[in-house]
Amino acid sequence: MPAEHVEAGAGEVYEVLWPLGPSTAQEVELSARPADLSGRRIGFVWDYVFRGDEIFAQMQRALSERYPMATFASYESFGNVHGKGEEEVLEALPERLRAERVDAVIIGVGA
Amino acid sequence: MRVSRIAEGEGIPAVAIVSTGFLGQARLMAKALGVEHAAIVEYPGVIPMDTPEILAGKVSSSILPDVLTALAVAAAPTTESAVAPTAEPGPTSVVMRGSLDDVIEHFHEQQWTDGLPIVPPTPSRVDAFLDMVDRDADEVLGVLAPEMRRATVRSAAVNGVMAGCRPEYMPLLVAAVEAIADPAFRIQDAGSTPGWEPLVVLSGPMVERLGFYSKGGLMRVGRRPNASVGRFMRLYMRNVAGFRPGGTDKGSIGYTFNVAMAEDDAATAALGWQPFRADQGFSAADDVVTVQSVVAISPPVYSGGADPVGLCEPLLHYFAGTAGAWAFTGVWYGHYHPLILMSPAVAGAFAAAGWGKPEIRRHLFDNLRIEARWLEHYPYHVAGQDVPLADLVARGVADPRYAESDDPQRLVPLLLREEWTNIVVAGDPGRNQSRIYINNHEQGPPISKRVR
Repeated sequence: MPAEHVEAGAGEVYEVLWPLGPSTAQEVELSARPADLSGRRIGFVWDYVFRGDEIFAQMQRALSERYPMATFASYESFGNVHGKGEEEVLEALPERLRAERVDAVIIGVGA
Repeated sequence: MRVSRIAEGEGIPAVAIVSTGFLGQARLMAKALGVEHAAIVEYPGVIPMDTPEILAGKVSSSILPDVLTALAVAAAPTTESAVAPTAEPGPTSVVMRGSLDDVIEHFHEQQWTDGLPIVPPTPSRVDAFLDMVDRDADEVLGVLAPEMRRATVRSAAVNGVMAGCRPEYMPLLVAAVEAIADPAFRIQDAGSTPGWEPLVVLSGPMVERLGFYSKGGLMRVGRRPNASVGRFMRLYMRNVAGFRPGGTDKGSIGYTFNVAMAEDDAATAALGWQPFRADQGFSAADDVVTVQSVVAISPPVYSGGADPVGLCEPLLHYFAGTAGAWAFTGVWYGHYHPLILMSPAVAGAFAAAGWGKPEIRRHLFDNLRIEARWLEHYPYHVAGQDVPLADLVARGVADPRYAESDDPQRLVPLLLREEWTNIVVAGDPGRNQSRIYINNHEQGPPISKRVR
């Protein structure tokens, strides 16, 4: 095997290439946050695992007590963002978020 | 984190709830998706282990306050991440010069290897691989999550060199990358906790031409063609997709990589059966690479006698045992693609009785059953909640066969579609053994690509 290594002292010296690939990441600026959630509409988006329904139900109760004017969009409004049909749900998500006019989104559950 | 990116891209503040063990993975994925500073709130601990009371306590004491903070104030960049990132090397950049030991140590330090020494990917070695394909070195074969890097012909060559492949394997390495880059493969899920591994299946004249081994002990490490191609696949997923243990690879226990499985073409033809590549819709003259996930492998299954129904009995027994309650994921996600590696001796007995692959598939489809309670209750152990099959049927996720009764001990189908059970003939022709390879539902279904 021909190689471009050269002798250096007692050992051969190798020049080697990078095994990764070019990144395609493009930074998205985070959205402006509301001063508080009073009168805001909050959406819950769930991957239908890890007890998100329990967590969201409790959060909605607590948020309702703290912000009586807040309203909520259930995870059922957006569909299951993980599993069968996931790609279609994610593709439709921007439109669903706009249709529900949500001001903030709580997403669960990563585990 | 994809939802965070979508919401923030729409101008809507988002916060994601992530359990403790997955914070690092979430942060890495957020960075790769371009939302490095996305708001992430910790669920402390392991969710399925918490009683409802403990869960409620965690929500009120830490999760809710953290969510409120995250929605009021965008996460500020940390000092470390606020520093401008160092530019990454270019595709033809020499990333280091050094002795063999230096190169090996550097690749270990950078997490660019699998724990074993690599062959240094020098430009001339990489060029020798690139010379074996009529493809542009910078041709993009796909973009691989979670790091969202471009998978190129050149990076296939670099990792092929590192894995110890021969240059003449290069066309099939490119086909293997094309397979995992296919959106249907769902490479983004390869870091899931079951810790599945990719399996490369080779079918075609290339098996003999390139010296791949398809006889007794073919799935052992020990032969360069099979072993180096299997190692390549895992290295590529580590380096280009970005799955590294402790980061985005969240396999809880995992297992080692699979060597490439090579079909015994001559033995298959002698049975009068069509080869695996033809089962996948290709011509018998084609060389075809298939990649699928493997989450579990059966013990050796011995089938004796000449009666095809009797030959299937041990297969049914071990199939059900190996698939186990994890089969609920197949029903849940609508995909289940097991593969049977069958020795020519067993396949020959089926063929002598007049059965081919379609008859074997049909018998398994009709007879593989599991108690419904396992499919319904095992999700509690996995993710903290039961999943009634009736609910899945009502939501259109599962077909009506799963809700014909509400008896938890009723037997329901384990296989979703007859044609989704693949059979490859290889192994010791002098022994009557099979093994069953279980894929991880919709994650890593078999994807086949013709070698060009």
